Amino acid sequence: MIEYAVLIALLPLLSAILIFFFGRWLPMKGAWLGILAVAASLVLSIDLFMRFMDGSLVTPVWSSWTWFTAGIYRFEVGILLDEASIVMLLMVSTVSLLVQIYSLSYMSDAPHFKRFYAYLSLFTFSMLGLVMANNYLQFFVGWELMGACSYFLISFEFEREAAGAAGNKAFLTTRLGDLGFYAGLLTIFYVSGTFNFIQIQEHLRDGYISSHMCYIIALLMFCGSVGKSAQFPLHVWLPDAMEGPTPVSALIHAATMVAAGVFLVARAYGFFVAAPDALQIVAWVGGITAVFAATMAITENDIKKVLAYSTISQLGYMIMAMGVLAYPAGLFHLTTHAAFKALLFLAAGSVIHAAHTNDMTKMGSLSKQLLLTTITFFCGTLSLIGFPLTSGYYSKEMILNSAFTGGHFVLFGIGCFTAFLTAFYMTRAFGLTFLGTPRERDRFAHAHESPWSMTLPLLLLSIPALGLGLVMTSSGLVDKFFGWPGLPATVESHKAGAIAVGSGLAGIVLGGILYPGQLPFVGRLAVRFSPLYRLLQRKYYIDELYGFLFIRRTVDLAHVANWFDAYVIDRVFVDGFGKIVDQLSVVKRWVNDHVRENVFSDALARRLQNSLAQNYLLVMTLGFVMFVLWRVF
Amino acid sequence: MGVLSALTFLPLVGGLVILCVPGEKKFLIRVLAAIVSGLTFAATVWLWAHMNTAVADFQFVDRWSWIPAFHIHFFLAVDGLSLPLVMLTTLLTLLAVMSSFAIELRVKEYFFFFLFLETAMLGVFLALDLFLFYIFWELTLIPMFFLIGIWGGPKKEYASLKFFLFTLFGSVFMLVGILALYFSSAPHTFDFTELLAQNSLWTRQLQLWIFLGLYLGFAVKIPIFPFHTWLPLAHVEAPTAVSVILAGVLLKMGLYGLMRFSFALLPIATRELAFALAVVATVNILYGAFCSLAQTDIKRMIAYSSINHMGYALLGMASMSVLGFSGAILQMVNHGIITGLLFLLVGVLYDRAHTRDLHAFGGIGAQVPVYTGFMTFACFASMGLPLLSGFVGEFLCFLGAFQVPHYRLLTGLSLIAILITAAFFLVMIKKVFLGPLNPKWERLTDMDGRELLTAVPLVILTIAFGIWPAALLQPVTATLTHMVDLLKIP
Repeated sequence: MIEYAVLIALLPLLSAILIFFFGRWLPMKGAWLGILAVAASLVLSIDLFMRFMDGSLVTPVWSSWTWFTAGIYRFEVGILLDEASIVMLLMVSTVSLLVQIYSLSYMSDAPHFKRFYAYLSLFTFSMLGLVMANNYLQFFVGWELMGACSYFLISFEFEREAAGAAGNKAFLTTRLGDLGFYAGLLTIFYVSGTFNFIQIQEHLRDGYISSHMCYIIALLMFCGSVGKSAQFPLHVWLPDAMEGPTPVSALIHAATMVAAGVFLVARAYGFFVAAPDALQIVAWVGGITAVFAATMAITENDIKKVLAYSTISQLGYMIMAMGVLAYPAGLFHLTTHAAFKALLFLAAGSVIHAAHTNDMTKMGSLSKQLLLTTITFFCGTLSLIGFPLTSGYYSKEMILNSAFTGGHFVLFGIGCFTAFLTAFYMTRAFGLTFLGTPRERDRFAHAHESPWSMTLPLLLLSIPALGLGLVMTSSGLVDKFFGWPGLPATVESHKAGAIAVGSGLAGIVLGGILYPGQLPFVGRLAVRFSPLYRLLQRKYYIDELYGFLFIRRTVDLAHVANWFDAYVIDRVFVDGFGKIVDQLSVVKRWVNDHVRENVFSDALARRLQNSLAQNYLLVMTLGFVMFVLWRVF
Repeated sequence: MGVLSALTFLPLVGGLVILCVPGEKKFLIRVLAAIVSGLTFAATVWLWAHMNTAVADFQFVDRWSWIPAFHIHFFLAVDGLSLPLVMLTTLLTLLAVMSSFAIELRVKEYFFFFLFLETAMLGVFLALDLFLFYIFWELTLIPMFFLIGIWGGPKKEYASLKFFLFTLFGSVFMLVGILALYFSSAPHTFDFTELLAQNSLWTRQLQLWIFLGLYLGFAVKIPIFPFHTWLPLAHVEAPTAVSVILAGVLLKMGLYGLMRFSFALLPIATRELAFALAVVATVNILYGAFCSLAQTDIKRMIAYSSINHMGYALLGMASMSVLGFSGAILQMVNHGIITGLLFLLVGVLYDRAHTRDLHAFGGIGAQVPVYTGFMTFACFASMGLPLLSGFVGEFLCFLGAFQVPHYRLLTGLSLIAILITAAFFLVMIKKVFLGPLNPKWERLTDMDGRELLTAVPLVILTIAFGIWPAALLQPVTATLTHMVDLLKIP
């Protein structure tokens, strides 16, 4: 009896509805309802987790209801609880709860406070519904709803032009990827007649689906992941999405929604495993994204955007892991990343709250004013860098290790270089923000530590950011939770580990030397290599390229279609046809003038003068004549 | 006289009563019109409650000899295919009547024509004698012609005439097709059920020609490229309530006719031409979407998006499967609800701002939050967001079409339109509602009670059918399964 698990998703939905309609009359505009609901979801998720751990819940378990039937096909909604979904439920409800607590203070001055909580709750519902889905269709429903929530939250401060533009960009870019997902759904249904994960897995196991079909389906589904998880070349929306309020960035654009793309690959892994060529593509897309995004973070001065690039980069690691058959490592990194990236974003929010700017060049020395924020941000940084014994260390090591032992040496090299860059830009960000001397005195003087409702989530998130990796690795939980049958077991390679850790440390050292001590020197470097610097600052001009190649061309095509419609179809074709008919009416006038006067009486002629009725009769007669002619010949 | 005759002619009788009321008693006329359309809606709800949806049979059959000399019957009946469309008609008419309370010009005639139109539309969906069907089909033209021509916008005469002539052009061919059916049957008959019993005797050649004739009539109405240019024009000039009916109901008459008569009576021709239909559907889908993207008038934009949405339904129908048929029916009903809502909302804005130009607004989201919420909701529904009613219909159309191997490329191409649809709606939302407030609209007022009253039912239905599409699918499945069987090679 696991039907009650559906409450995990439904409670946030209920709170979203209540907040939306009745929030204005409730104390705190109903924010407590949202927190309470997601707290209940968390409790239920913990309960599931405990029952799984003590063995009273044997996975996988599922349960489903009919959503609708069309002909002989039944489309269902359901829950599938297995190791991966139990962990994801726990993760999503935890981060959502902490973010909602955090937002109490962070968003307290915001207009539309009520709507913010309604959207957060709706988002939580969508994500939890996706995580527990037992079929692709329900997965897609959650996926699209998350996209809509993401749109509303990015353009939350819609009075600003940039926020609206960023919302559109995010929605449309991810929807471009979703076209692939959509086509993938159609193809899956074509080959197996169902969307049910378990039934499809059986079809795959029994070899009903050819490897060519698997290849196509895998790539189509992967398009969805590339959009949602902001992989190259559809990564462009995520930096812009930082227009949304910081808690949104933490929850949606770092910890949960963007990771859903990786989760999709995990859910569809059967197709990928059956199609090694698809895996190759996945691995390379991930690897390229990881290093590509990391380079852009180096020159970024907006603290949130640095974190956004690092998110893209880390998602690249996860995708790469999936591609090199390191399924456990990918999901493990997804979990640890959720903890440390949510932490980093929320801590960055605390910094922004205090300094009233996103621009790190205007900060400096903030550690003197914001002790808790500094410490927690430091924890997150260490974990992201992969400093030994932190959570990020274990998961990233596992990915690089798998790449190495799997023989993907180039990808391993890319991964290590990315680790170096990551360590460098995070050290830079930490140095610019918290160390050195204050660059703007007034701002520094007015910066104060945030209230407890903001710092408490930071402290709580620091625990998993530091310790989760160690706990999960040492107790063997990684393999217990993130196993995929038939994959090669991970082999420890000390050489790979050493190289990876070494490149990270090198990044820290280099970053530590330059920031914040050598700022003038860095400035001179930027001038010296200004073309390169500008290239990175402008994000490799990809936005401009897409604008020129795709967006402008699409709009051109629309205008061509519209011109064609107005001038060719309507003017030439339709009106031209009308003109011809008009010319024919010369005949009609002749009939009027010469025949009717002689044949019909005046009274009848006047009644027929009504031109409408006349035309009507004319066409009807013509039609009848045509018909008779056709019958005769 | 049976239930269905009463249902069909109730609005017309109401309209005639309204004609007897002195023209200056505007309030009485409005209330009367609302009561009559409300009663008609209530009657269809009763019909729905009393229908046996488990079988594909025609029910509440109302049939008597009308013109014995030509073996013409007055024949009305309802089944799973017509029921949802009948309900859609009466619901949208009720809401459109309510939203027309602000009309001040020639109130009496307006509501008479509106109720007259309702009778004609109901007749189209219920008539099973092709002669009767044709009469009702043509009867919809007359009130529509006057509703656009008298109460329309600046170019109303041109628009109404174009609408009239265009549809008439199609109807002529349809009439030829109907007459051909009549003369091909022995004994000669217009009765759908009798024709159905003997269609196996008709040659392929004959079926193809008749299909073509009927197709031209239906294609103009749906509208299918390249017979669509009357639609954007008519929408732009038509008053709000007429746009609601035009997009919500009239376009479905074409799809209904195609499915009911062409498909069922001419299976050989349908099978042969299905691929061509799928191609045409794809053109509609893409062409409509791209044209929408180029529009600056919000109403024109939605009009083109209707062309796109009708394309989805046609694609589903062309798949000749229960999945695709179900999708088409859902798409027809839900397009009626969602696009009806969109046109209502555009009317709300136009009543205040007297413009529908995308570039004339900017940032009014802060000024009219309730309106913004409704409009955003309708746009997301129209772009097929899951759990709103547009999604499942669209999805089933694609799913049905994709099961046919040689439609796969077409279906894949059509998917592009999903992105384009999202693009033009989001661009519209951004230009009109987001960004800093254009000071010109500082005095813009939000929706009032009556406007909310007309919009809320459609919102509720959009959510209800989105979450629970089975409510729509269950009553139609038996009929649709039967119709698919009719298309199978015997």
